[in-house]
Amino acid sequence: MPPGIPITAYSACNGLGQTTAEVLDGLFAGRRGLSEAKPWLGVSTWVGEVPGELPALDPALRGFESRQARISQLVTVPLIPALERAKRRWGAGRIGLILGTSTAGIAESERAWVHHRDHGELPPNFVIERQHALYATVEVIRALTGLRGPGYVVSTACSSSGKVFASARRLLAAGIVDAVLVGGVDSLCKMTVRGFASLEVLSPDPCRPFSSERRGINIGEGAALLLLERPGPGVEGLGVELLGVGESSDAHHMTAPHPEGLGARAAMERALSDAGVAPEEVDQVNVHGTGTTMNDETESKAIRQLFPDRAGLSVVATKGYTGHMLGAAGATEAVFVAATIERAELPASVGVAPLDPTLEVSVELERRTRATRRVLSNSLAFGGSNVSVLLGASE
Amino acid sequence: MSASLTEPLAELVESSANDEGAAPVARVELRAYLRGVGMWTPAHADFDAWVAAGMPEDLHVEDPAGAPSRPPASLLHPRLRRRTSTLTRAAVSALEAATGQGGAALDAVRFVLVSSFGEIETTVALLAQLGEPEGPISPTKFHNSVHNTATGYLSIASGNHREATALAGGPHNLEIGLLEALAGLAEVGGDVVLIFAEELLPAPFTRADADPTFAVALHLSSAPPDPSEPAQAHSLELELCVANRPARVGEGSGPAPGEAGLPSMVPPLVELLRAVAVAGSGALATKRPIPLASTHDPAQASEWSATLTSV
Repeated sequence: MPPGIPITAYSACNGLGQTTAEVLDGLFAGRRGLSEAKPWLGVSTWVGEVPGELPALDPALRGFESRQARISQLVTVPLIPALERAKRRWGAGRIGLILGTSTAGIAESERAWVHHRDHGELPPNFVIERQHALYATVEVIRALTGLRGPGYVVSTACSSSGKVFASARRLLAAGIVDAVLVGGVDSLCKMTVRGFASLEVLSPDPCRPFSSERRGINIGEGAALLLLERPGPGVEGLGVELLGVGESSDAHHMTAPHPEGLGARAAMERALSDAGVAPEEVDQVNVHGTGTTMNDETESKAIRQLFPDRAGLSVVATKGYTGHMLGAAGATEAVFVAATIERAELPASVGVAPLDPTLEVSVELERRTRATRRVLSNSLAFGGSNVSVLLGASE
Repeated sequence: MSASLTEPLAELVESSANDEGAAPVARVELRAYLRGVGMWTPAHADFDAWVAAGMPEDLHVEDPAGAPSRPPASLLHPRLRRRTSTLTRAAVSALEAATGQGGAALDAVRFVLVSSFGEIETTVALLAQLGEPEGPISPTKFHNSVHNTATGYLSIASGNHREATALAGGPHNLEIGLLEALAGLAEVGGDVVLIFAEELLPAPFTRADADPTFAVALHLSSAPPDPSEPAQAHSLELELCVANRPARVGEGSGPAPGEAGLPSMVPPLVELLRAVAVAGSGALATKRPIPLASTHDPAQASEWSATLTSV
């Protein structure tokens, strides 16, 4: 059983607020961070949009101007003191940067395409490698932090920022780095909102994961970052560790989950065996829980199969707060899980009531005090790409 | 809210020169066996065709004998294949060649795909649909626009339930693909197929410095080939070592982020493939480390390189 990797700092922004404190206050107060989609998105639905005006980019980053870059900066700046401590401890060259994103800055490419159609040329400030490219998000956060280890993007749609934990563990285990800043950043765009509308899975109302009244997903935007550091002298964790990660492929269909939840179950099983943790030791699952009929059915099947005696298991669904943040969902929900472990408290799974009884899973409907020590967080994606991240309380 | 943004960044972030002096980069070496290589470009149907053409760096060069215009991707059922892009078909074709040579079980390997722009033809076709406020969006194009489209189809076509990932590393594509693949082999052993692929940027995003359409696949294994295993009879017998050294300093501050133009992964990849061809032909392998980054990047503390040796 490999040792846990302490989480020493985290940061999040999403529809609940621009700061980690606003986000977590909203989560534990049962406040939804969803609003009606603005007309430019072209669909009547609800979205999780980061509220308020996003702070302007640092002048050095002006060339990266985009909502994606502004959200990246917003989530990164509060972590700079913790990153400076980590750099002194390990050296900037021994800290990796692994980020999940599905959208990157595609909203800028949407505008650029229309500008080209109407004016015969791309906008003068549009440069594809700075506004559109996946890797631009790494360049923005690298410039803000001065991290000098290997840096890359994992982009596997909705599992992207869950799988960053797997890549981080590989680089740590191979001795390539001593710490990794992992996370995910996604930004609202027409591509995802109208794309999911074309698949007929968008909810016209605020989403209701695991509810008998669920009608689909809401798209969310935002970001989350977590600093993972090798255990060592002076490393003061938050009391939460990365214990294991399990990845799997459905090998079934590009968009529909395996009908028996086979891939989701395999990902959870691998996370547990990776950490040497038995299913009966797991006391919370933060579900993928998008609010589509299919996802919630198949994910419930996987949970019922893996945890046949479900008495002590708390199931928590949090996309009712943020919407589905796609490439940023896994890291965001890892922050939520870390907060539940730190506070010994579970948030209400907002929007779930009335719980769909056919799912046969007991979802936490109200906020309550409960110390959970071994928690799985699932992310399931297009291409049948699944990941489950096991976080736990430090011994 | 975000009060710290009002402070200049220079006061928050130590200069990179200082921490370079304080903590030199530790030496890291990762090794794996390279068992097979595959390639598809519009001009070269496979790796042997590219070698026969003199191993040109420009993958655009037309083969005078005439070349296939679409990657065959025979692993994909026609029902799946007709929905897929050139990038996905090229990736599948290169993978089939690499695993055919090295003898990998397609349902048991892990897939690592690396690309800067991924499914860019499909993505730009969607941008055109999105340009019409009321127009329909193709749901097939939408799910085929994700960066992990090729690995998704590969897992479906091969019945492979293992982990698969899709990465982007800008000027570090070659290096981060090899680090992810070799670190995975060090962690759990087995076999990885590492695929590098791009599609030419379509209009209106065409650029003179864009990479051409291509796919290259490397079958990497934690185990050496077993000559008594018939499937491995044609395996390459090479060991790949990836290692770092401290980045060069004092060569100017380099370009600011995003100012270096489009980083091409083709030149370092071609140099690595030429070394594979030379070593695979039985000639003495070069001991000279092959740099993996596309450009000198002062933002990273290490420069990574690869060496090949016969086993």
